[in-house]
Amino acid sequence: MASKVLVVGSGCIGLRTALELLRKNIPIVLKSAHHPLDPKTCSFGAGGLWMPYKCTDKRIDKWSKDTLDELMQISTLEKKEKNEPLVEIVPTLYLTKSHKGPTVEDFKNFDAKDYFQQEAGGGGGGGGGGKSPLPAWTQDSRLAFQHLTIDMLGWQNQVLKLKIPSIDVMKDAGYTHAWLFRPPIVDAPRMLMVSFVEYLFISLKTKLMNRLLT
Amino acid sequence: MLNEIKRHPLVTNVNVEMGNGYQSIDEMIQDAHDNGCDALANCTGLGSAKLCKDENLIGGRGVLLHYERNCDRKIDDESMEHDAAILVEDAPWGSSTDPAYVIPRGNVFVVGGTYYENNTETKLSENERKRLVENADLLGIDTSITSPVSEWAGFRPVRQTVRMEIDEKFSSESKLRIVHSYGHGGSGWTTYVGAAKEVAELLCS
Repeated sequence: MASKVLVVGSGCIGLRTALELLRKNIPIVLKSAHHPLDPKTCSFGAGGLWMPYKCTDKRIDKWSKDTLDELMQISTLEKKEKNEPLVEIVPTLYLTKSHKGPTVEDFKNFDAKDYFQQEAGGGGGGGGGGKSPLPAWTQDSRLAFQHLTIDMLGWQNQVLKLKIPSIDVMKDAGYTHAWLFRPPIVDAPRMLMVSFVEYLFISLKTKLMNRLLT
Repeated sequence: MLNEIKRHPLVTNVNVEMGNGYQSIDEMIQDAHDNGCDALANCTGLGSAKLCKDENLIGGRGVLLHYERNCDRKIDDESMEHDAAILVEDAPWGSSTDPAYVIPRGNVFVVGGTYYENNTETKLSENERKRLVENADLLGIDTSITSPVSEWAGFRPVRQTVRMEIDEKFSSESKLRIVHSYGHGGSGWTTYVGAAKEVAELLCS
């Protein structure tokens, strides 16, 4: 059990790690080559959209679920105060030129036992839901994930009223299908700021407390 | 009560601007000892390429333009009132190295992008800027009357697998518990909470 930890790095990974330890009452020292609010850093510039991307490590299923839990919770808490949310749930469209989703073919040898086993395991492997080629995260009901044809998207958008290119423009460009889901988007610079302030606050409070005690 | 508070000495040494930072993992270890730490969490992202001499870790360059969230849009139908994020990796609008996307984030639209491995250019080229404006236009921003408010280029810490583990070699040599957490690629904000919890578990187990 660590009694005091040197945390190196203050991007989203380092800062959140520092906070995790502080919240567990483990003292830390935080050092970093760049200030967390340095606009040059990768965490600061990032789009902040929750979607496992360009990351082939299987363990990210669990890490991204933990992250989704926290972001959804923040978003729910924030709903009362409308101004400048840290986390916004935004309808998201991923356009494709081919099906890329489950077809009847995928379920030819469908075995209900496999289906439920995969679900219970958090959707390990190449995809949950029978032999669906969709990634496991698409099964999380909070994301309201749908695999649509462009026409179906057009019908839905008569109700959803999303500011997206017109169905004709998308079809003319050759797009035939779309994923539609509702992930959280982190306001990256502000989340770094809020996390850093929390970190400074805990540090200051403790310093003050120690001074009072000595 | 007093003892309970005394057992929580979270006093920390804040130093978040070290310029070039450490030059090697040995310097980090020395600094941990100097600060009375018995553990070390390495969350240096791309910095670990140098610090840990990790040849599997490379930069995945991304470029972006920012437009104001209330900028002019090309959508004629005024009943379409909700912002959406749009991502395209298929031709003709995008490709896996040149994805086209728009993400509403806080008070800006983030328009991307690129995914170039081993490209270390820190500024946007004229061509890249032009293509990003085209992406913005395709995805619904009226670029004939609105201009970006800023631009950005940065480097994702790309690695085949995330390095999330106890460093057995350096831990036993240094008598510190050393945990690495780097190489989250383009999924930092998608994994950061889970990654932090796992580091804490590895440090506390």
